[in-house]
Amino acid sequence: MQRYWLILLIGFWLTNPLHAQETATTEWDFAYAGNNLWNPGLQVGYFKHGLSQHQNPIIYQARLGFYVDPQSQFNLFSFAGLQYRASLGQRNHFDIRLSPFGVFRSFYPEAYRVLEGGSAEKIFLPGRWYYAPECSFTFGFKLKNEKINQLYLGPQLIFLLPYDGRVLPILNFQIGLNLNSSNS
Amino acid sequence: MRVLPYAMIILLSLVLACGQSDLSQINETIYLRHNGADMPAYIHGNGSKKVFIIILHGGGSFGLAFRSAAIQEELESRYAVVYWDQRAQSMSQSNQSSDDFSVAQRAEDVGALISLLKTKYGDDSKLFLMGHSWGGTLGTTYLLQPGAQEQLHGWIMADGAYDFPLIVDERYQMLLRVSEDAVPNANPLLEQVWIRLNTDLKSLNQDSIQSNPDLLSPFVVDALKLLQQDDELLPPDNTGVYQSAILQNNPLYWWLNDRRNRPYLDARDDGYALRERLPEISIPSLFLWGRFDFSVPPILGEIALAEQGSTDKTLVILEQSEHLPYLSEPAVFLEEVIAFVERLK
Repeated sequence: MQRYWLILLIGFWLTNPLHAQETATTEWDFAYAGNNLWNPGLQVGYFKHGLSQHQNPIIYQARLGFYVDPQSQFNLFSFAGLQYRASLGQRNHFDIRLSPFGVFRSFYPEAYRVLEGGSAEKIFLPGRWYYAPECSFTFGFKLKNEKINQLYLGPQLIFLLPYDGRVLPILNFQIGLNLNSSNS
Repeated sequence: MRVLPYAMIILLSLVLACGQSDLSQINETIYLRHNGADMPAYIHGNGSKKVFIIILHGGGSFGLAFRSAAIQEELESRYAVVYWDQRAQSMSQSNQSSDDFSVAQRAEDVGALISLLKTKYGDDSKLFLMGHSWGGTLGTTYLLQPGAQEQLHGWIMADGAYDFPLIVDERYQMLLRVSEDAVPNANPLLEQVWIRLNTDLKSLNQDSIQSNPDLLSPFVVDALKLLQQDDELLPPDNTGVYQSAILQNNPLYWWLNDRRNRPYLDARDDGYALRERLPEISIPSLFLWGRFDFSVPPILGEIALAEQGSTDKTLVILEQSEHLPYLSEPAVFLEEVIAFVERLK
């Protein structure tokens, strides 16, 4: 199940450039995304859109990131989906990002499974895979800088499925910077 | 951009490479994978003597909730303490549904944890099991499994809920008794409040209490408030616990898991009872109970002392505590635990 989603996600990342039209532009952003605010994490985002942002506010996006739950686990994740941008005046905007393609992998420091007979064997790269769709809501503020065009911040929700038979929402708070676009 | 993958690999390696060979100060997180669940055990303290105290947390709680400042100072300086998140609690993870979270499965997990500790730290490790409240239920269930008692040097039960029908009956009787006994010595301002509490209790239908134990909850809350106002109860000292709950544990995982998985309520509703099997337990045992524990009345400690099959068993009542004696009277609580462990290790 997890490998299926991982393949889908990798496929989306690889074919993303094909979605754009001839005048496609790309953007990158980097964010501190703290789980519950204080568990540290970083994310990098990749955006591709065919027309200028103001004419086509819906763009393709993908993200790769991690956060650390101290004493418990390291978590790696990736999403892909669409982002909608609503302008709030000339300098500011509000983004809604929905990523139905998502995968999440937790990594434990050390884990053992107990065998019949009572001995335990160590597990290599222990952790769990989850299907993990994501959504986020951020406010962006334009900056007058050659390399960085905006600062944004807002919450991000990641949903881990199946978690103890149900879904576990994870809350991250993002503070990030968008780098200036480049044509490709 | 090229730096990012390498940075993530380095960070991952640092997180994974958390093992250490110096047992005098252990600070490790080890996950137990057993029957579909991954359950973390946070091990802190002095492992140089290879004495481990495994804590089975209570209902709605989590392993690190026990890691108060007093326990860090008194227990971890002497022994290694294992703070373990049980199946479907706090940071534990699985892909199972709640149908698989039976008491028997959870007790089996305790055995698996013990096997893990012996594999990692050696068969010569001296293990003590300490269960609080629901952890008492779990520990007692585990001890009744074949071969379980031989794995341990001692059993410490603090306010252990090993018989749920008995708890409900005794809670009502205890509320009546405490409210009657309080009146002669009560603060004059509180005397009438105690009398009213007692009168309201007597008006309850006892049959309806057994079918709906939550009827007593408001009376318990009121009684505890009155006892505190009357200076009969010491408030819990949570120093270190909030830090564990919020910064070292993930509160969202804890809260959601507790909302969706409450084995102690399932056990209560199923009438889970182990009193009749207490004579089968012969391991050296220490029972610690809060005198004003309405959640698990101290008469269960007296019954355990009388009926458990151990010849080496002691009951200590902490006179100014309710359900959390390790937080209300940590000095007395830990003194008893240390004396017990030192004698048997």
